[in-house]
Amino acid sequence: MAGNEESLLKKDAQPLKPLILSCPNCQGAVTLLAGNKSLVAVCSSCGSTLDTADQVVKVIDKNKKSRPIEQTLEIGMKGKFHGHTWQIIGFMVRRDKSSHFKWREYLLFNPRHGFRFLTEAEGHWNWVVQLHVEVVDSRTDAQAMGKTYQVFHRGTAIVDYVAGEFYWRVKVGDTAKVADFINPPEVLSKEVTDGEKVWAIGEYMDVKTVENAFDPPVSLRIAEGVAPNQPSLLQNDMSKIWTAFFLGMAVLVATQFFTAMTSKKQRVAEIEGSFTNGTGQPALEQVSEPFELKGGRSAAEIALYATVDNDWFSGVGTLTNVKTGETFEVETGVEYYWGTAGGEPWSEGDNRSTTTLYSIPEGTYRFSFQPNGSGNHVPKTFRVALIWDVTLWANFWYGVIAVALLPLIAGWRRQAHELKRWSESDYAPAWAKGMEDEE
Amino acid sequence: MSTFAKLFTAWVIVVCSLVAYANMTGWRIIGGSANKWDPAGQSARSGFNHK
Repeated sequence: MAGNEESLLKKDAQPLKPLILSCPNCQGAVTLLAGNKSLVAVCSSCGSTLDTADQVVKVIDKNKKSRPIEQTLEIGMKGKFHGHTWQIIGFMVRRDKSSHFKWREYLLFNPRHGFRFLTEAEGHWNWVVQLHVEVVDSRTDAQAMGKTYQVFHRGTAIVDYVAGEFYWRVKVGDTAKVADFINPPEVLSKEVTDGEKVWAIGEYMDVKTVENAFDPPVSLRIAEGVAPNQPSLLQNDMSKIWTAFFLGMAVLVATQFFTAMTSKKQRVAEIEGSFTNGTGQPALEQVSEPFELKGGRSAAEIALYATVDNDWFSGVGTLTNVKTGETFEVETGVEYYWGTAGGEPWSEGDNRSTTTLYSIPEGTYRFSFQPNGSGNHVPKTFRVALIWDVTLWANFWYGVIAVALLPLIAGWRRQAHELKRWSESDYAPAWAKGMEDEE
Repeated sequence: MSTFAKLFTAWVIVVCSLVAYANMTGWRIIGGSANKWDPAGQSARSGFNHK
């Protein structure tokens, strides 16, 4: 886009009426939907570009160009955007001189509200308005309306195709120095032509919004890649996600603290005995007196101690409900080894261990322990205790992982989105360049 | 709040509630009510000889 529309429309102006002219090349009818505000029009019959600034219409360019296949909206179509009806009156295709990247611009007109643009590149759409406020730009960014926009692209744009009518003089081959600055979902575009600088601000528009603006709705191509000012799906959500994460962590810590403080950790049974491997006699099962487990369901721990010395010892602990006969059984053991290697002492294991029984219902129980093996024939003494209502830590760590997973995934996806965005720019920030280099 | 943010908030509430319930009932969320000590696993890791 180019051309300054500021002076074209005044607040108290009458709505503009279409004008019909005759093409001097083919005498075909040329309708100017924007009336006398259109300075250039392309004859739809012969394709000639006409200067319509005054009553004597002149031919600027006779060469008819083929309609580009990427043109998806027709001149004359009407669509509803931001509560008003806009009519497409002009279309152009432009190309970056160095990269040959192409984009399309549709000029829209509303008799009372003036001109707007819909721009499209790789399936991404922007609603663009000329800006009439002060913009201060530098090598790296531009400041406008209290916001900072990062430079994304600088280059030269060439007009490859025009159709319809325009409020400034434009023809195929025209060039302009352009620069884009982004602050998603907005893009600030600067165009300099013959010393005249024009600023415009674009806002990313979802393709579905464009499709449904027309009646009947149109079908447009699916967007590819990430547009310079395309907002991340999570852009406005990250602060809420992290808030939910920290609140979740606070609740988990508070819950775990409360559980730890209120756990009874009650030693309800204790058994002592001795065991010698290789005697040929089965080890005696030791059984405790009955005891009560109260307070609903909870976890219990079997704490085992045995005098192992470069040896191991194991046995089976069983919790039996006296009334129902239900049993909870677990094999447990200890091992302890030590020595020296190269003059340095080493040790492995411990002569104490704890094993957890989960979700034990309250009731009257007996606890029994059956030794069933050790490494050597040295007699061992053992002591095994049952501790009721212990604190479980595994659930807390599962909760931490579960709560942390989503913000980590969201943050990773957002970063991937930003990397894709900046991969198309020669002005990527240092962090994006660094990560691209790594890849 | 977007759909994603609402879903995440709901997820956090579910996780915290599940952890609180599991702690109150002595149930381990993963590995549930399995009351087993795996001697074979211990042997492979620490050299237990159960033979």
